Amino acid sequence: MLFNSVEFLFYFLPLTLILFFTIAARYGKEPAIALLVVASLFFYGWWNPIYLILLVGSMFFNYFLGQAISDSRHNRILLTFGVITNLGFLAYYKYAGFFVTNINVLFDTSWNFGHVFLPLAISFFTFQQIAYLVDSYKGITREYSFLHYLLFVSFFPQLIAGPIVHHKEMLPQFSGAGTYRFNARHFSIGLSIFAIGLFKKTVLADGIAEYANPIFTAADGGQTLDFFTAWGGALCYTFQLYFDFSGYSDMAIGLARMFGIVLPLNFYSPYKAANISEFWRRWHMTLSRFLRDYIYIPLGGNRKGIVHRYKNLFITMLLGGLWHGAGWNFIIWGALHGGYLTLHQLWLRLLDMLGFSGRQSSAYKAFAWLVTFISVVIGWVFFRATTFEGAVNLLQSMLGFNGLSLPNAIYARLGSIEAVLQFFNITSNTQGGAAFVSTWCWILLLTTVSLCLPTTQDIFSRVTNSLDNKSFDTTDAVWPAFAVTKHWVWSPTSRWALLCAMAFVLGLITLGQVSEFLYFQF
Amino acid sequence: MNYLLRFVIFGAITLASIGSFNWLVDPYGLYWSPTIHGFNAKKTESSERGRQTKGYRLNTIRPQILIMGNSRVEMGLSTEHPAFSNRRVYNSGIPGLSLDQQYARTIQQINQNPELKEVYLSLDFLDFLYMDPSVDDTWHPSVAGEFRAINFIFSLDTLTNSVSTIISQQKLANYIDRHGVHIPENYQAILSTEGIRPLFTQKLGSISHQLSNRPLKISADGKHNQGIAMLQYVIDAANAKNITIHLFTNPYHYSYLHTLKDAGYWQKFIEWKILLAHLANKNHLIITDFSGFNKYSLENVDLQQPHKAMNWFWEPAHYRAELGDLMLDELNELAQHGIGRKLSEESVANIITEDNHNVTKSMEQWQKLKQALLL
Repeated sequence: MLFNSVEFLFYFLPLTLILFFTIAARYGKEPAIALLVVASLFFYGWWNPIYLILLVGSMFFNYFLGQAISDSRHNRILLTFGVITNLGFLAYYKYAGFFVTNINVLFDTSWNFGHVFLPLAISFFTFQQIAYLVDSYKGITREYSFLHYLLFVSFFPQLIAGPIVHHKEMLPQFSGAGTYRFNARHFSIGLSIFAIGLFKKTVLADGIAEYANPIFTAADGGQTLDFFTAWGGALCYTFQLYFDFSGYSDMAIGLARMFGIVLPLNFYSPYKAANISEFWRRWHMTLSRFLRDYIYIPLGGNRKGIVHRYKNLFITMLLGGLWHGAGWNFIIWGALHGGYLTLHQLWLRLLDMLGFSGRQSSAYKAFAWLVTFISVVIGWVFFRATTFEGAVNLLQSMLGFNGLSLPNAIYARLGSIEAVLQFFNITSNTQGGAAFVSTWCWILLLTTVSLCLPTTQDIFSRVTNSLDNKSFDTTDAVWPAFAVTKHWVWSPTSRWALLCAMAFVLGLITLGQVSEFLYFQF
Repeated sequence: MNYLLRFVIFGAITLASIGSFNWLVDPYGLYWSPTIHGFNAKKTESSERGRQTKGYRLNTIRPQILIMGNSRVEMGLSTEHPAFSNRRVYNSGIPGLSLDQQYARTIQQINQNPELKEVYLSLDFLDFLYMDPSVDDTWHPSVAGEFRAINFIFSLDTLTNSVSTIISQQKLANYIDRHGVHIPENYQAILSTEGIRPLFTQKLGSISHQLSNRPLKISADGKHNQGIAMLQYVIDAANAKNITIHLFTNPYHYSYLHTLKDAGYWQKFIEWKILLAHLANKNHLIITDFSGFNKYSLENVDLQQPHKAMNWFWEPAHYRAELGDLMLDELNELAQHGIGRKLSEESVANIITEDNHNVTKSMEQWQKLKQALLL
């Protein structure tokens, strides 16, 4: 069930909260954890109960293997077996079809793998458990309670789309006695964060989605799009994904907080980033952390010279792309970002060689932000398009290969400007003027929101929004309205109660509309 | 007062305010709460929502006379016509509504509305075309979509549309009146800014694209058609309840008919009329054919005066209420204007000859228009 659904908001969540705190008060910690595990498995099984077999099997396997690894003191064979088994299941469910399709194309064969259902969130719980095995091997963590382990993997606020949590971050919280007593302050903070997340997802992300989806459908269908339509579609998706993921992350953090659990930060205003490295320090932060700790560093990181460093960076991002989905477009997206990161490193070296000292100047930051943002948007085209041809088609239109035109309804109203437009070869088309205006109004609004407003992490920084202590951070970032918004910090006042309640109600009244979380597919 | 209590109180106030505001503005014309000129009188967001809201309105109004069809009758047939005086009329024409849904809704009204006395049912050629023309004998009328009025009151879409309704009161914008008639003011707005050309190029281009891309058929054996079979269901239901049913084909501008011909659909158009004639005889019914060539459908498109509206058509596919009034005159035998022809097995040969003759005769006029429109 979705966080923004009637069954979740009106039945599952209230019932789980009531039962959890009642059982904790009457029977103690362990029965309360058991309740939370059962609730989380019910939450997961709601989509398709058959998925539960894999999830539960995976948790059994990894828990006992983790125990064995801890007991054996650095048994590399056990660790390798565990990682390969986990990746094997992931490969079977997520990548086998893709692999066979490509083999067929390459060797002109017609192998058929049959239809394999992709279990929900398999990438998330697989990575989380691989991290657990590696940490067990390194002696960083050890789990003594199977029940606690089940909760660590299946805790419903973060099970489906992250954040990817480390065992050592969660264990002390699950063990703390304070977690099991209803705390009005925690609940107020959690509810307020959830309300803001719900608003971002249902009002902003779903609101702009209707302007992005038709454009990508058209591009994938081979339709020729003009320059403005193509950019409109790409930018709308850019913001749809941003507010979808940001909203989801806030909701996950808010829900966990209602239970007294603080999750790691997963999202921190990535579109404010003024370089691509900073972007990845702010976008899907727990995945970036996983890729860094469990792929980039084991590959050698930056320890073997510049060439190896760039190669490792590229491979890491390529695998990061593949993690998001079994398709060439995801691989291209990962490769693009690998390339961007490498280029950024080279650029920094060049600036150092030239002795350039203006990197903190507003003009340089604005230029760097623009380059970063456009690069990210280009990447999203591959990320969203369902075919390679569709992505190329849209990019060609964004480069102006298919001409520049405006809806006739707007063109006809421009009067004397028409001559200027004709000079630049901007023609008219028969598309709807209202949709065009709405598209660009949404883009303007959400550009302003994502660039100028503080994120939930900033707003709730005084009351520990997440395990990260970032707060109003402008490092390598642009923030045009920083001076105005830096005081917008949540406190339990009537003003914040009103704002958060309004956000919650506005989110609530979208429940009858069609919605889906984009990151659920990964 | 603690934070959580304030959160709940503010939330409840916000929710109640939104619900009251949406009810008062009533952007889709569901409740017809008090209307205030310049505030909410024109339901400018209603024209896209007919599929969801008109069923609800039908059940609320329980009309004595029902008008059913697609967007052509929705904007072409007025409920103010003298033939309807002193009776409750509702225009349930809905843009793009599939034939099976038009008929399912009609049958639902026939069966559930004891007040219903007459049904005006329009017949539209494109609705009777199928990729697979075989007849499904198992068809059973079933109205799709569940309507829950509360979803509209407590809805963000409704809230934004309420605001938009207030803002657009002074603009030329389409809306549906309380009797279900679509008032197409947007055509006037387009005419005054862009002129008539885009109305024709867009519509004719879209029909041409729609027909050229798919090999649609009327009938597999020249005798049967799924739409006609479903229509028989409606006729039987109306007969069982002693409800008068007025069947008629919609008028098209000659450019529309020529576009059908250019796309290779003229013979299918003729075939359709033969099937309708057979249906009329079989049921001893009158089917009035308004889809021929006459002084109304041959109205000139004056591209020299692009901002001037035509007298009888908004664009090739949609006729104006002025023409609709003349159709209603003829359907109710109040006056004859030379638009309608009674379709029957006896008359259909003459009608076909006349149509074939006129499509050839108007060819030159069509070629000139095509050139002028750069089609």
